[in-house]
Amino acid sequence: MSKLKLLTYCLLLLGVTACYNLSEEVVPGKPTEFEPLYITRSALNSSIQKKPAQPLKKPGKIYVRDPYLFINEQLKGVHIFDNRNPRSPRPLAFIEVPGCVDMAVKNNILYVDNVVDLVAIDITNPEQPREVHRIAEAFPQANRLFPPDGLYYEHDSTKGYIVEWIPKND
Amino acid sequence: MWSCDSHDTDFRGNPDSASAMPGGQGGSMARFTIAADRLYTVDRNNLRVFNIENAEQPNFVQSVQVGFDIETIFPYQNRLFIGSMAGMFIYDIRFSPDNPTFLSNYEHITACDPVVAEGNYAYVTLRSGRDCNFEAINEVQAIDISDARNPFQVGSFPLSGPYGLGIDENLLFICDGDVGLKVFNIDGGNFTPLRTINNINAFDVIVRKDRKHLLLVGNDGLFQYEYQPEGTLDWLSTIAINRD
Repeated sequence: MSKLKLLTYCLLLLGVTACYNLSEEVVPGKPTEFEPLYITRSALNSSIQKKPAQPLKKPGKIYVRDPYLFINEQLKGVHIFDNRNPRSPRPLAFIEVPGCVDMAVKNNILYVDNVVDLVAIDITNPEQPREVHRIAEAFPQANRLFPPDGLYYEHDSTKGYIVEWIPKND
Repeated sequence: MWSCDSHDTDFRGNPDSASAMPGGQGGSMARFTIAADRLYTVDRNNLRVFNIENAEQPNFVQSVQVGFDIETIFPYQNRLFIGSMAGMFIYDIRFSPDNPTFLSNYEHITACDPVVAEGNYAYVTLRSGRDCNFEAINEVQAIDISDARNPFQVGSFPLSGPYGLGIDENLLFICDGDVGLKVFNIDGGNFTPLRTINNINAFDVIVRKDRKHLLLVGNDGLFQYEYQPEGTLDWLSTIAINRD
């Protein structure tokens, strides 16, 4: 009896979920002009990489924590400069962080968004950054389900999270 | 003058903050900020609280539903000023940093809006455009926050397409997109334009009051200036983008 109850409950829940999904579904229309860049959970877990300093391309937000200056490279990572002398900031390193938009620093710990995750990076030596903590799906809304042109795309959750959208003719 | 041994302050270098804390300083477009040993983040509908008393072990505390289309967060004197498409929200974190207390919501017409605060006033920029409501207008508004539970507008000044902004007493720096960086003298709701650096795209600024040091970022790169109380800016350096 209780099993039957459970089954009924599950079916009911499924029905409700299905209805919900149906009403939320985007009506297939003109397909998007953008290609999604997916990242799987396991790839995301090891996606933060130390790289040599590199030029700015699409700078985003900025953050200062003496003696360092942090410049976000939109959705790519964080440039770190030694800014002891603001007349000649010295590039130290680039930390590759897919999906990164925001940064904050307390003591020697840099917090970044890494697609849907919040990650703490030890930057005691900024040239040797070390991931020390990760909160998976701290920012579920950072999974960019919809293309920037607002046109139709069928999201495939088995491929992981969407980091960014790249124009098809790029 | 530029030595790195001066004390670090939180609350964007605001000397009035309760205690000097080991956090850094972000711009007004930030969605992450550190205050009261917490990392506060905003995304779309939510203000999220992470306890970072142990910096290496951020600990998710809770998510507070704030409103819709949250864009920015700015800490000032134990308060969080949250910019959204529909207005500015003020939360208090003095007594319970884990549980921000709603104080007020200043509503305006729909536009994108970062906010900064100093003394009895908050300043928000409203921008229409691609990602925002086309009906919206482009301007900066001065809001009296002397009673944080009852904010009201006391002035405004038209702009072209503003993004981030920064403040040091009576100097207000506004990134006006492709028009460049605009410097105003402000007295509550009165805006007096002083000058414009108009050969660069300006997205966000960090104003380091203690050093009279301004960092500006935009499509062209990162620019650093030293500013004077009368609003003059002396260029220090540029980190240009690679256009290849």
